[in-house]
Amino acid sequence: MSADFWLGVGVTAGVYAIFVLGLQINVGFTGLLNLGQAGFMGIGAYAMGMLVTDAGWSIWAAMPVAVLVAIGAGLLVGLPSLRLRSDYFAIATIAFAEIVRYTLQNANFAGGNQGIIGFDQAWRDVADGLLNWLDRFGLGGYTQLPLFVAVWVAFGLCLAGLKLLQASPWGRVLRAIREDETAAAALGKNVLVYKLQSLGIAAALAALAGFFLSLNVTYLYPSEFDPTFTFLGYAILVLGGFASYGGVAVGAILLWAVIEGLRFLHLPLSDGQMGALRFVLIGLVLILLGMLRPQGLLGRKAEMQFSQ
Amino acid sequence: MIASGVLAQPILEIVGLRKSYGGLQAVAGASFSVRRGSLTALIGPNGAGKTTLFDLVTGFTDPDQGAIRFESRTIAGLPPHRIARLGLVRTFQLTRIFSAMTVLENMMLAPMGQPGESLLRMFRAASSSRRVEARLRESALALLGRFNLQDMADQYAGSLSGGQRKLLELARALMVEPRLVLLDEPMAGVNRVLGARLLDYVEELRRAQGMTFLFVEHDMDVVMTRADQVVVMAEGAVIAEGTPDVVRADPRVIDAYLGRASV
Repeated sequence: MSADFWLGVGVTAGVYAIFVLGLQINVGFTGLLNLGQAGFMGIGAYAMGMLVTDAGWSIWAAMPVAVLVAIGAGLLVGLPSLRLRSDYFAIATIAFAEIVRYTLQNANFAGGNQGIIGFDQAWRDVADGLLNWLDRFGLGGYTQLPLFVAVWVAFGLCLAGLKLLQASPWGRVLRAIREDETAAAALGKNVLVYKLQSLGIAAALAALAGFFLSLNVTYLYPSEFDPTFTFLGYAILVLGGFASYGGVAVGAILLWAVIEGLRFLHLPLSDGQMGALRFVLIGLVLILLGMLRPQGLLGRKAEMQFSQ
Repeated sequence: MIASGVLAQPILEIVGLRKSYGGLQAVAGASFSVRRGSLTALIGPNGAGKTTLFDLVTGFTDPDQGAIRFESRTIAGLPPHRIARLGLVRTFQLTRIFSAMTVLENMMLAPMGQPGESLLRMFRAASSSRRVEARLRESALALLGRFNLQDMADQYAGSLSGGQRKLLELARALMVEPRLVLLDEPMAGVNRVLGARLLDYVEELRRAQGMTFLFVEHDMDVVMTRADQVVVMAEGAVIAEGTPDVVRADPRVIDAYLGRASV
C-alpha cells in the first residue's frame, strides 16, 4: 500500500505547509521572528478538542471558535512582547510555546499526558462517506485520500487569501515594517497594530494546521506541539524561500519527501540510528542550500539581499 | 485681525525641553519656536543636541521635562505615528529607506488615508482603495520626476546611490503632504547641483502651499543664503535665534563655533 503511505506523507507535508504560511507572513513579510508557532497550534487544536469532548460542540462549530481562541492568544502574547526588540521577541515567543506545552502536560482539564481522544467522529463520518463515493472509481482503498484532499484544499485557500492580502496596500505596510519599522512609524504607520495583525493571522494558520494534525493523529497530546515542530517549520521556510508563499508548499513537500523517502534507504543501522541520520542529512541539505541558493528555492534573491 | 493672529502663531513651539542619557544632558532646557511658512535652519556644533531634539519633537524619544506644541497642541509623549498623522514628518540623518521595496512603493506607501492599508476596511473600501492607488501612483511619479528619480521607479530602493536615497527620503516625506517637515542634513551626500534644485523645490512648496521646513545643515553658505530663520544650539541649549544676519553677528554664536580658546 505504498500509495497510501505517500498520501500520508502528503498529509503531513500539507499540515506543515499551512503551519509555515504563518511563519512566512511573520518572518518573510513582517520581519517578526516568531518561534512560538507550535504554541499557537497547540492552543487551537486543544481548544477544538475540548469544545468537542468536554462541551459537546460539533467539530464544525468548534473549529472557527478555536481559531478565534488562537488569534486571541496571539494578541495576548504579542501585546507585551512585540514592544521588545526583535531578538527578545523571539525568546518571548519560544517561552510562550513551552508554557503552553507544559501547561497541557500538567493540567487536568487538558487530559495531561493522556491527552484527548474522541473529538473526530464527525470528520470520520465525512471521510467514510467520501471513501464510499471514491470506491466507485476504485479509489476506496486509499484511506488517507480524504484528509489529503482536505488539507491541500485548505492550503490552497489560505495561499490565495495571503497573496491577496500581500498584494494590497496593507501588505505593503507589512513589508515596510520588515524593512525599517522606525521609518514606517515616522510616516504615520501604527507599527504595533500591523505586527499584532500579522501575528494574529499566523496564530490562525497555526490553529488550522493543528486541526489537520489532530485529525491525522486522531488524538491530542502535548508533545505533538513541542518546539521541534516550529524548527522543522523554519527548515521548510528556508528551503522554500524567503518572502514566498508558494515556496512554502515546495519546501514542505521536499522536506517530507526526503525525510520519509530515506526510510527506503537500507543501511546496516538500527532504527534509532536511521532516524537520527535522516535529520543529519536534512541538516546537510540546508547547509548546501545556504551556500548555493541562500534565498531558498522560490525566494527572491534581490529582495533578500537588499533586506539585510 | 483674527486670521492674521492665527497666522502669526508659531507652528512649532519648544519650551524648556530637557533630555539626558545617563549623566549626559543631550538637550538642556532648549526653547525656541518655528514660524509658520518659514524655512528655519537648526545649526550647531556636533553634539549640540540637534538630532536628539528632532527625536523629541517627532516622538521617538520622550522628554524628561518641557513642552512641545505643534499647531498649539501639546505633542510631547505622543507616539511617532500619531505625531506624523498630525502633519509633522521627518527625515533621518542616516537615511532610512525601505531597501527591498521599489522606489515607487516607497513613495506610494507614505501618504495616510489609503483605506487599503487597513485590514478591517480594505474589503469594504476596495473600489476607493483602487482609486487612491491610481492617484498615489500618479503623484508619486510626478514627484519622482522633480527629483530626477523617475527612471528608478521600479528599481529596488536599495540599489540607489547615497545621494539618491537622500532625495527619495525627502520625496517620500513630501508625499505625506505634511505641514511641517523636519530634515536632518538633507544635503549630506547630495551633489551641489541637485542639492540646489532640491532647495529650489522646497522654496516653491513653501511659497505655493505654505509648508514649513526645519532643517539641520552644516553648510553655512546654504544656511545663510537659503534660510529665513536660524536657530543655533550648543551644548543642548539654544544660544541664538533670528534672521541669518542677526545670528551671524551674534558673539555667542561665534564663540560656540570658534571655541572659547580663540576669544
